[in-house]
Amino acid sequence: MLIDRDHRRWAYATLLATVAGAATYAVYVRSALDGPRGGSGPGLAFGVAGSALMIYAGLLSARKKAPTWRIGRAQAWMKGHLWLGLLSLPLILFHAGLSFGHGALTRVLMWLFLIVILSGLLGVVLQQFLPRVMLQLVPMETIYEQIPHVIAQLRVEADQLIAAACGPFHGQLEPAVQLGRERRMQPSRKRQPFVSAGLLEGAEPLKEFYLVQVRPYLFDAGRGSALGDPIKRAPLFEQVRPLIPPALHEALGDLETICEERRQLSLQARLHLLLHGWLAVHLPLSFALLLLGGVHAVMALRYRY
Amino acid sequence: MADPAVHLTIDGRATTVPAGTTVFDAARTLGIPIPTLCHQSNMEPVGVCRECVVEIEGARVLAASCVRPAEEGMVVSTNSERVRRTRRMLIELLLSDHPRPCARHREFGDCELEVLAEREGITTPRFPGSPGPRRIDDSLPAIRVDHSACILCDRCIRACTDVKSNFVIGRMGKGYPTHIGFDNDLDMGASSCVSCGECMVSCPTGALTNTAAPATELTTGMKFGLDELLHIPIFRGVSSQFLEKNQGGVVKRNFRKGEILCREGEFGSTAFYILKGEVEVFLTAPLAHVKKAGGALGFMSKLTSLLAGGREDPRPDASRRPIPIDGPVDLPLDHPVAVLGEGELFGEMTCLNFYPRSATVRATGDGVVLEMLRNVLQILQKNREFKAQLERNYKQRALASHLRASPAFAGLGDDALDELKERAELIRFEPGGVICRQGEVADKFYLIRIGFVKVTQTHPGGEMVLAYLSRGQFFGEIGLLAGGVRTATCTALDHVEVVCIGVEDFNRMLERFPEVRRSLEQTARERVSANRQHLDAVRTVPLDDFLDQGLMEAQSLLLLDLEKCTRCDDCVRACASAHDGVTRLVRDGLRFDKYLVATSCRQCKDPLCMVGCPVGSIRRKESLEIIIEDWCIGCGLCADQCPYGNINMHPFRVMEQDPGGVASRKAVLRTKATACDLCTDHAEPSCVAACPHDAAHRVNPREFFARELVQISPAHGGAR
Amino acid sequence: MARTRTTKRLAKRIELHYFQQPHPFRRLVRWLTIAALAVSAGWIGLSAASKDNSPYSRGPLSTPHAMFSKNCVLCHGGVRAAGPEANSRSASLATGFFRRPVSDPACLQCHAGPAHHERQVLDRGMRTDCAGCHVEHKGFADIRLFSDRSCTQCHADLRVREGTTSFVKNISSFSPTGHPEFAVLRLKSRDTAQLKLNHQAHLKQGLRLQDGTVVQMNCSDCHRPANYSRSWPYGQVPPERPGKSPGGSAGPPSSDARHMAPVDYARQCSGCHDRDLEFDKSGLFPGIHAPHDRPEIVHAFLLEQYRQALARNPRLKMESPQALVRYPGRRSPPLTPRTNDAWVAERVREAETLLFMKGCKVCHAIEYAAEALPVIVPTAVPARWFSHAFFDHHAHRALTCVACHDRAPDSTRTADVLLPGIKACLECHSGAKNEGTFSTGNTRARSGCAECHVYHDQTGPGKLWEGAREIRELTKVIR
Repeated sequence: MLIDRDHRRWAYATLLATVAGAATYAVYVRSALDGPRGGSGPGLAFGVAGSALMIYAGLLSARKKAPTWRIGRAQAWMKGHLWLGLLSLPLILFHAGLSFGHGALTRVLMWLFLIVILSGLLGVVLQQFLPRVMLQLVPMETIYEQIPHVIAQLRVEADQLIAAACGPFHGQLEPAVQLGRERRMQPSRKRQPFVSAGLLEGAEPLKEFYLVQVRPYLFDAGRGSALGDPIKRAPLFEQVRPLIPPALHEALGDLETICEERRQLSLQARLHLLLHGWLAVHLPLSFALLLLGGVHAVMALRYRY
Repeated sequence: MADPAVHLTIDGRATTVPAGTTVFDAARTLGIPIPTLCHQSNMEPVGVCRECVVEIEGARVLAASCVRPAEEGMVVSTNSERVRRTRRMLIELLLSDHPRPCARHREFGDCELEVLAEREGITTPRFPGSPGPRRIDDSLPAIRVDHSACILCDRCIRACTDVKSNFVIGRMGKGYPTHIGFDNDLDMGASSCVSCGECMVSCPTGALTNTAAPATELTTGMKFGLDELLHIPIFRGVSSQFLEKNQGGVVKRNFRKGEILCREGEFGSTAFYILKGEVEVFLTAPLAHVKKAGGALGFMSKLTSLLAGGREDPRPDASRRPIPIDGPVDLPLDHPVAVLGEGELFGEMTCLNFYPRSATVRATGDGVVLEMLRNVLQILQKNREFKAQLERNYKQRALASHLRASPAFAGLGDDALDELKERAELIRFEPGGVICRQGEVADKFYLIRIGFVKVTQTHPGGEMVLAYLSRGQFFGEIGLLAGGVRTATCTALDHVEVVCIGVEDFNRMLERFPEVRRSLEQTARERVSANRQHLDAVRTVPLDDFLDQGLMEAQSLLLLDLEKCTRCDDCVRACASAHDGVTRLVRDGLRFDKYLVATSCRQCKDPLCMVGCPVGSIRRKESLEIIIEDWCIGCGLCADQCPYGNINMHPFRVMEQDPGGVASRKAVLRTKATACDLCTDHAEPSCVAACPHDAAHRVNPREFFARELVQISPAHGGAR
Repeated sequence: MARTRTTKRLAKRIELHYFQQPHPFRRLVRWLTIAALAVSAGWIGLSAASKDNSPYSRGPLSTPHAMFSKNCVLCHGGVRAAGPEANSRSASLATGFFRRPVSDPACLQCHAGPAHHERQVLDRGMRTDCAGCHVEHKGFADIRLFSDRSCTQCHADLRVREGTTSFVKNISSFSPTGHPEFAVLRLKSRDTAQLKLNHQAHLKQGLRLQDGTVVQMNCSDCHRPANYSRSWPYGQVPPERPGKSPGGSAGPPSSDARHMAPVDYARQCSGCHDRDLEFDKSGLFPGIHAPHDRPEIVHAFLLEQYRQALARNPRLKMESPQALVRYPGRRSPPLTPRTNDAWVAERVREAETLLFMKGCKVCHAIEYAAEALPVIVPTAVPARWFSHAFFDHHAHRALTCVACHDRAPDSTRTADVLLPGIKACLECHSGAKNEGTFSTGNTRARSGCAECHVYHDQTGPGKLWEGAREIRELTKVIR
């Protein structure tokens, strides 16, 4: 989430807690008989506090499963997740006596913990600017999950557009129009054909351009296609424009918009993965962390001293 | 208001009318008919046909009475020799260009021009006609345009422009070739005409006539012979010729016990009249898909619901009332079943306005119904006897429930109701008809029987829609209670019938029942203050691009701050889990500034969606959020009407009574309309509460954007 | 008509139930989660199945205990305290339904851990159980090197339950202020050994032996750890080589290496001081010295020697020792024949007089008796000067002896205590913390209490492990 002025109190509180924890830790280390230990009273307290915060942070995902429960606004949970989760880092380090763990389990836990914290921080950092980037670069944004669906509709729309402008395809499209899920989309009722049925004089270049260049791009937006690059795309369309009668210019313009939308959707898909990719690390490892942390807690308490 | 009283004399009879009344209307109050072609009572007079000329004492020339206001001490003669001569000349001139008989006269014998001519005894005009027949345009299947028969009275133009606001028809050319034209003089079929038929209805001649539309013949059921038809009491008094033309529009249907006559949600075009037998009217749409199932809850689910914090909206919902249906009765909320018997008519709304059926009708015994199309129904409705019967039925069965449904009238005694039944009057309005006008003298109280009424207020900035009212709701009380002047204009949106209660009866009722008066005054106050709030809001915000997206219309927008939103979709999932697994929010839409205006109900000030709901299940609560009640029948009209795609139709798996046969329950998928209900059973909309990134906000756009609206430069704002 | 984007058109593109089918990315995350959980659970499960507790260890065990790494319960809760010992322990450390703390009985199976001081006052939170000080799982550190705080929590402000204590009451660290001078020096004790030893005389330059050779002695000529394997330059006994047994390898220096071997006449002194044990001036026994032993044995030795000498040469008894010396102009006294015994007794007396009055007294104190053999006062050389600490000379072999024992070359009296003061220790051992952990970066030598001191009262007898097992049995247990 975007760290803005609203987070100031959380940030101060976290800082304060960290400083207080550090002070406590300093006192504790000075007075500890045998150096800092996770099993000593204060060490255990740090561990309990840190793992409580971790569990709280982990509960965010449970809370997301019950979004209608009125147990605090999700926003507050998220802020808590972020700051308290961050606070767990110093606490756990204090618990571990600023070491990196010496047993196999503790070492693994420490690694997991660091990766989880770092990936979470990465996520926060990404969330600071990527939404803004998407706001600027992808004005035609849609719902990420629906991108393939929307693209399918774009294809249908483009097919209909060209069919309306240049006459039917007469089997020039091998896999017909890949209907199926797209069948639901009815041809827009309001859209009147620009040209009454029948091939308009001089529409052939547009049709060919569509079949040879645009349609393959719409079906498979490989990065290589010039249509995927707004700078290279414009000249391509400009080459076609003089070849067709002015009545079809609007159709050409629409086609260009469709290509632009297609390009933006691909871009959106990439940005979205970038914005959410860290979750693929953060989430699984945090679950593993909680599981192993639980084992660690049970075993360490069992064999304490 | 100026001095209301103007005294004048018409044809020797003195009368007093409010200032501003035209001579034409003044004569009408005296019962003096003045022939006219271009003027119709629901339109602004333009005075083009000059047929209504009258002679005014002391005036140099004759005046068109439809546009001439009455003046103090005016002495008018409507039938003087000079007037008659002039009128005759005008008819002759018009007729010289008119095909005889025109299509309408040929079919129905009621071409207004030719009727006038016949009355004046003109058979052949003395003047030569036009050089040749003009064009006939039959590019539209339902309406045929014969330009030869057109007398350029402008009625169609006004109907299209003022009544229906379609702005298709206009005058073209000048001089002799002047004619009416569609859009930029296109064929009617190529124009943006929506085939509403308003022009055809208003045309006095055969210039715009109904061609045999595909649906004027009913194919199922037994056809009637003309004689048989004339023997049915309700057709008594109807012109046999006219009936003959429309024979195909009515059939007799025998039904057996248990047979379904019509199902809710179906689209239809017929009305039913019960000749014999009884039918049962009910809703199969179950009444609880939004509310959670109650009953004995386990501990866990109790805990869960405690956590979920769901609760019934604690606000008293005074607007809950019986479910209005397309029949003479309303269905009670708790047990939506009613019985209709002999001599009752149902399905009017569907027939006239092509709304979906509002309820399912099943025969409880064998019997006979008449099924009729719009043309026949309209004939019937013009029939005085039938109209009286309808009125009687309505007053007997629905008036009381309509009145009592509103808490304002809950205290009304039975005797008072009986009295009202006697005195109340049923008035019809065509689509676009003005029921009462802002600034007029208030003399009636209205209760809607069928149709939708739009309440608007005119302000320097333009017209503002205050409300849409539907069956069972009342209006006009503000004018009666305070000052006696109408504060708003009420217009019929479709075929509307209202019950009028005169000012004396109304006042008597209030005297007898002070508590009714108090609560009515309360209602009036609330409405006035709500209106004022609307108005203030409109006044304080500058109007600019903001309007383009209709954001100004919205009372509440779901905005997603795209600089914060990580597109995690939690809002959608929250919405779905708050609403039985379907989302009422689509996270796509247009952007405004850095916000995504998510597709979710905007609680428009002018909620187009509410117009036409056949069962009145989409409505406003008093706090103005729009809710769709449980008894939605899934016709989808509201979803079509919503300009923003905010209403969606979702199938729900429900148990319902099988209307077809035995009283067994079966699981079926019922489609219902869903729209954002702002999670009124929670403190905050679920989507907003579930947004982890502080990106979702439900805001009043005018307040939220108040600052931005001033700052946004044209280059920055606006739609994408 | 150009493409227009309206809210409704945009919204209608979307499938209303899209969110119910998980998107590939979400599915990926879900699978990764399951995989991560499975791997974690699998690891824990596998180690549980193979009865390997080592993953839960909070760190490697110390070297001697490393073989117990896999089986926690060997130490943790495996042996329950019984009897009075159980009651003495605080309840929080009791092995319960869930808790498996390390119990002292587990340690006591192998180790003797006698109590420190019965009279110590325990404050709240102080632990007296083994693991309270000997913290395990700290890697290959010596768990005997526990934290100073374990000691200073009492010794910084020493209180006893009853009576008084002779210990300094405020020992807080090994520093000039935190630690007192060693008791021997602090109390200015004298060396009460009954031996005449002049270090200065031994170490002086140009020391001339009785045979006239000049030597330069070193400290190590006399003072060496017991297992030091070079031959003694001034001894006549060949050195023992304890580390070298056939087929074995030379192990690390045994604990004997820490301490200097006691000075032994045969090994260290005899090379020079044999002459002091010559008992016959007549040259009757060339090369034979009296044994360095008790007077009774010396007496018996002398009797035997003279008897044998008489047996070899009976004429001897004819001669008085004086008669053997002829002075010109003087008549030799007549040879008075004596009995054999008389002769031997006379000779032995002479020899004993020589030894006891002169030879032995070079070093020893002797108590004479009128009619009996004298008694050699026991030397009573203190083996260690530290009463509560141990010093490892082997560990300090990089230093010359006089680096610390700086007074030794000038000491002329036995009574001089040559123990270096704390100042010498502090040259290297000061301030550096020894927490017995992995802490590195100390530029100073360690100065923890446990470097020198031992908590346990080890004056008692050691203990054997009663549970000693066969090899195979042991490997089964520790697995």
